[in-house]
Amino acid sequence: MKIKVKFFASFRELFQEGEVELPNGRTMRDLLNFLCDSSKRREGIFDGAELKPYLSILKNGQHIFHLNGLETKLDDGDTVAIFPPVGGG
Amino acid sequence: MLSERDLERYERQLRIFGKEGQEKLKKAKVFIGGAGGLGSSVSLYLAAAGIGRIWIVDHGTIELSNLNRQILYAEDDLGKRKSDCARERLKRLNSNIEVEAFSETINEKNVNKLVADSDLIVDALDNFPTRYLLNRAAHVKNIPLFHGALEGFHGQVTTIVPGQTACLRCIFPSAPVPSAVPVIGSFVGVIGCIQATEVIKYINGIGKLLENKLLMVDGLNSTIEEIEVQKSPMCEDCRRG
Repeated sequence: MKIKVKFFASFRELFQEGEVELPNGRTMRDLLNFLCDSSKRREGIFDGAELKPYLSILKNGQHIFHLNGLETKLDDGDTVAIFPPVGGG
Repeated sequence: MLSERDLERYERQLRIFGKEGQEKLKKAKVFIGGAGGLGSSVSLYLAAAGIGRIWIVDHGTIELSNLNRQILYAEDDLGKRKSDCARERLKRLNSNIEVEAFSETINEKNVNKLVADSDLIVDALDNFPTRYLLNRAAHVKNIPLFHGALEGFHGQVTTIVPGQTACLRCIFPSAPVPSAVPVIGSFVGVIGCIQATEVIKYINGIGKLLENKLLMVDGLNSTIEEIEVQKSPMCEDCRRG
């Protein structure tokens, strides 16, 4: 299955966006593990085995917090957006 | 009714939305949470556009390090309350509008009262915990909320219509502890001006709003992109209404 992955803000420089080919039935955890192919990238997303708090990870516009977290199932054609928080004003 | 002076003053924008549109702006009451970087550009442009009633809240006093971005204030305002200086500056810009400014910290107890009776709420805050309070109040009172936030050259804007769009908590379920983030005045102005433009469009019912869209502005690479967002049926904040 093909997943479209988009990065924003400072993750633009850290990751390369585009389409990712994954075997069917994989989860958000699998996708993120695939994307974090260097220690620097891994540090951007993970804190140990868990997600860094406060990251925005949206599957088709819904935050995975409101879905099934890292175990959220992915389907062919899904779009995933990943970005760190910005809170200033 | 618009006066002769109004017709002259707003002549360039009357060409866009006519006398009827200008009347709508004049009748509108906008609550602005925060009179910092975002609050400066939002409030100045809304006052200039002739929004009839502007309520702005900020508990801060003006420090030298505010002046790179908070264009409501000048050097001779240092040490004064932001609310007092904001009121004076906005009234100096447009004496025909009502401006109320409060030196208060928005909290759980006062938020509903502060936003009560306003037609629109602008999130010009610098932290998410207070943004969540405004988000809740907007949904309790059924008032649209115009969100903006930024850090460095990265900014985001979305327009939240209770019951219809994703709310702030749908998109950002949790947020980091507030901290002083790097900000460039010109770029906070860009984000604030997009928020102010959304407010003017909403009041006039023109154009396409950033409803269910998170606008991501990258000032460093000069790109703007939209992320489609969806209301979550699981969201605690907008489900209760």
